Amino acid sequence: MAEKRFGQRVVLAGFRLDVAPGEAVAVTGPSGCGKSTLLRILAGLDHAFTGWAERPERLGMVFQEPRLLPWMSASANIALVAPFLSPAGIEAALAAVGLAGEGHKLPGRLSLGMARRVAVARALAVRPAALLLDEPFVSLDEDSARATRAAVMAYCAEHRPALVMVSHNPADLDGLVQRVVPIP
Amino acid sequence: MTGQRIAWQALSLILLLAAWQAGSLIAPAATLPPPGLVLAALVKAAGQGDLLHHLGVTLARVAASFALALTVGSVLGVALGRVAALDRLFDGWVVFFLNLPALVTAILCFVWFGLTEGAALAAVALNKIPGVVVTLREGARTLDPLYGDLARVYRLGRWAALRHVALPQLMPYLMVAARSGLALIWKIVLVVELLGRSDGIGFKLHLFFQGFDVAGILAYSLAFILVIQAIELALLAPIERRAAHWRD
Repeated sequence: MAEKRFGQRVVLAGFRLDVAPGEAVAVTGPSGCGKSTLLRILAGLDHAFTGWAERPERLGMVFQEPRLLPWMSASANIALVAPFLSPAGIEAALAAVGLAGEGHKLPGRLSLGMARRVAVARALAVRPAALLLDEPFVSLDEDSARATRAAVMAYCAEHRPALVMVSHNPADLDGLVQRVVPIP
Repeated sequence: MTGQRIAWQALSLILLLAAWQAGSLIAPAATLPPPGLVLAALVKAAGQGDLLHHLGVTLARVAASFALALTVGSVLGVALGRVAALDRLFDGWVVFFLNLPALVTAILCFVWFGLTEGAALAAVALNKIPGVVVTLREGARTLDPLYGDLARVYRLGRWAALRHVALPQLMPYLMVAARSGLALIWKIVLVVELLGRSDGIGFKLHLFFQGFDVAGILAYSLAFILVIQAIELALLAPIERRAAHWRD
């Protein structure tokens, strides 16, 4: 990728990122440097940039906010993107992030931390070849963050996706990523 | 519904009947017949089967034109709400048709297409479509782009995205269009039947008007209003409650 412009402001100028299958990369940098923009470009949501980006076929993404459809239960949110999963598979996906038995709840009945974990479970449920995580563990208590990180790591160990993650917290990256790429 | 609310509504109904009864004592019986006389006319018409026949015909017209107006209006409204160029191009048309009186549309449809069932249904639907367009256009403008991104990232098909992502957001607007549509459409159907059909409640009202039969007019009108209210309460209100359950 060469650059992305917001009016007169240019971000990601000359930026290049290659992530191989099975590799996990953290992107860091000051606020406004273009980290979330990079994820949007990689997800195919932003085409107004100069350069080139390859979008993988099966993509799992955790946005900055949980972005669950509020009119669907947690289980239905997962089933919508992963229709091949059985109810037991969906329950297992929720259990992996510490939400066993919570699938019937509507997002409005979940705490922010629980909704975030459902969003992570949803991203993993599609069996993605690439995972894009935008601050996935923020607003989680220590135990929940540990369990959710463990679920992501287990998925990565088994399925070897290309992972790109944005995080401000160095503790989130411990043992999860092999490489940290700063954006100036 | 709480007991207190039911009591207030019962009191309101009793007051209306009392006012009607009092009015009938002052006005000549032929001009404003008392409630009892109207009820007797209603029972008689129902017993003869005449009322049910015309009620059924009119309800079928209401249902057909309602479905037509809601379908066409929704598609056009969403298109105008999502495509700015279309909106700029056709906004003037929408305003024009919004201000076209129902009577004019009915007359023109009968003149152009003859006194046919199709012309009657088209006249009614054409009157309601602009209102549905305006409501759904507003709904389409408020569709959350963040959920659109979600649908794109997870590659939901068009149908899944429409059914599970867009439609739930449009439901409040659809319900507004449906409820106001029902309230408007049945009134227009009566006008259209009065002008160019040989059956239906509107046609019967025309006959009663020619014979100055106010009891007949009130009996048929009352029966139809009650049926429309029942549809509103038994059909539309539960659909709306179900669609909005997640907001509780």
